[in-house]
Amino acid sequence: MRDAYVRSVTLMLVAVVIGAGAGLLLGLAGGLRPRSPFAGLASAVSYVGVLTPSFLLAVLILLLFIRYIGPAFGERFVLLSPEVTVFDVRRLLAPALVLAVRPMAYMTQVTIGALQEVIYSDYVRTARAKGLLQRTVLLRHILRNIAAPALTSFNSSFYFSMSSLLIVEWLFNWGGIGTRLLDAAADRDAEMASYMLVSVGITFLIINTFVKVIINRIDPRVAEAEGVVS
Amino acid sequence: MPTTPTPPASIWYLDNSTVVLAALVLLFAVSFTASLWAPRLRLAVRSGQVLGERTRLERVTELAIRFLGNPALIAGCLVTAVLLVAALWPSFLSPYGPDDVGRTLQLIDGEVRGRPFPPSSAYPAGTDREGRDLLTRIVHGTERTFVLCVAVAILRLVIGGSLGGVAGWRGGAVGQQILSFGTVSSSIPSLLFAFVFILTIGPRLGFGVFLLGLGLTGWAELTNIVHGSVRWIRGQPYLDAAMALGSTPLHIARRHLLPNLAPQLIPAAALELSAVLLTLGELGFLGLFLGESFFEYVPQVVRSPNLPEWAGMLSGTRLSIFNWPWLPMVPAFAFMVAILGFNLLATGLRKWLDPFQLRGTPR
Repeated sequence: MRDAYVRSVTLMLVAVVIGAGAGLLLGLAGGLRPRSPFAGLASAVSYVGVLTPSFLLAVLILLLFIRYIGPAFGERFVLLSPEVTVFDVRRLLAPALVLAVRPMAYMTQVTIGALQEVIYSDYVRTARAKGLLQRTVLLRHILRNIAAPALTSFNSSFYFSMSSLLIVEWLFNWGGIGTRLLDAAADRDAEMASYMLVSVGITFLIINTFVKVIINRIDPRVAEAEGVVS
Repeated sequence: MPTTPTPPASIWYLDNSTVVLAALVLLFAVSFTASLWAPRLRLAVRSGQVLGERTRLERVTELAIRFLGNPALIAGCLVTAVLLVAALWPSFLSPYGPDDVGRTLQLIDGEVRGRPFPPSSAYPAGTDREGRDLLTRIVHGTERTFVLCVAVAILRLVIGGSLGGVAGWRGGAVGQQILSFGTVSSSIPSLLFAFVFILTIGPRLGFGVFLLGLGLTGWAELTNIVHGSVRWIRGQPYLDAAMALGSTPLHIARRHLLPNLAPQLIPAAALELSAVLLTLGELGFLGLFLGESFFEYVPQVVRSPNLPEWAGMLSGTRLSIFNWPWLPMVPAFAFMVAILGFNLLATGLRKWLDPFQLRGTPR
């Protein structure tokens, strides 16, 4: 059971970190130039990406791996092998990609939305006008102000990937919490199911709290708005 | 009875696909242009008019301009219209009957193939393991899938709307309790709740179990929306005036609450529809679907259910990705298109019904 927990959390963390990182980059690339065609493309893709059902994504990415990536590297990925005792890092890639798409799209949306307010704000215009380097403006003024919404969406991304964890783990035979939970539900094993649910919930809570603490450190306005003084 | 279908002489929408595509592209081009020009057109329509004193023709023209200038709404309406036609009149769209089984061996693209047949000119989306055309079954399954979806969405609306209404109107401790109940409910992923609920009660019981399993979760967002707007409306002067005049609660609900809630509730209902559809698809992928009374988690017996239904067509296709990728892909794409369509509809409706745009202020 500990093994299953470690597997699932590894998968989710890798997926969410990949997704959130890529989404932040995409969102920055689109949001800093809101009138460019790339920005329109990024928002359209992220609109579709948030809505794509996880099973469709899983099937598409599995097909991609079976048809193209596997043969290209000349070795068969053990994608669906029921031999789950061996932990192979290469197996992590496909399910993590599936789980990463939705956080990525969501993060892109949130970043573009947050940038829309920030880049036309007075302090950014002032910073540009007094001749700061583009890099300094980006790092000091823009990034710091979109950090709070971006990190909040990190939490929601975790929730998203948690809800598609069942599908992805089952399809890729991952042998983590999701698979165990399905087994427990099918066997009417209430004890096992509640262990799994509680462990997922506690992990979610821990990460949630952690991210909130970071947000408070970065942007004290959020904490003040919520009435929490840190 | 297995019958031998003759491939149809012509399927009009496939034969005329160029025309259909061209018409769609034209519609979107017009729509995009209109969306660029909409504020000016609107200004032109009501130039020289005092606000609120417009003739019916002008109002209709403005609504039409706003509809045309809203590509998301047009796309959503198109998808919804196709789904409605498929649900009400399936034989119009489908090339075969839902139970027509082809010959065991057929010549597909110059090659003798056995079942399941891949996508080809005779079968636009391939066939399932019994040799029944997948496109036909998608079209015929729309009705069952969507009756369930709409029922679940209505149940969620009723639960979420009434709880949110009570919480917003009463406020205070009762409102807080209701809201925190909603938060607790939304912290359980709806797929998990539905899976455990349906599996525990028994998927064999059919429609009612699915209705409850999907409908008793996922209403918390609606509660929050309704709570927020009811609280806002409650603080407005016109409501004070209405209450001072001695309006009955029914009159207040009909005259003040509903018209102000509708611009938010109608898009939320469309969003809810797509969320239900997503959960339904995921349940079907895991092997839990509304249909005949059998359930196989990790199905050992590889066969397709007899009654056409989207989630059912998705079930048990996990391992066929390797050899017959179209088996899971076709229903999954159907889900995707429907979900996207409902979301576009919601986005478009939100823009269209937005009360601050209704007044015709150019942005």
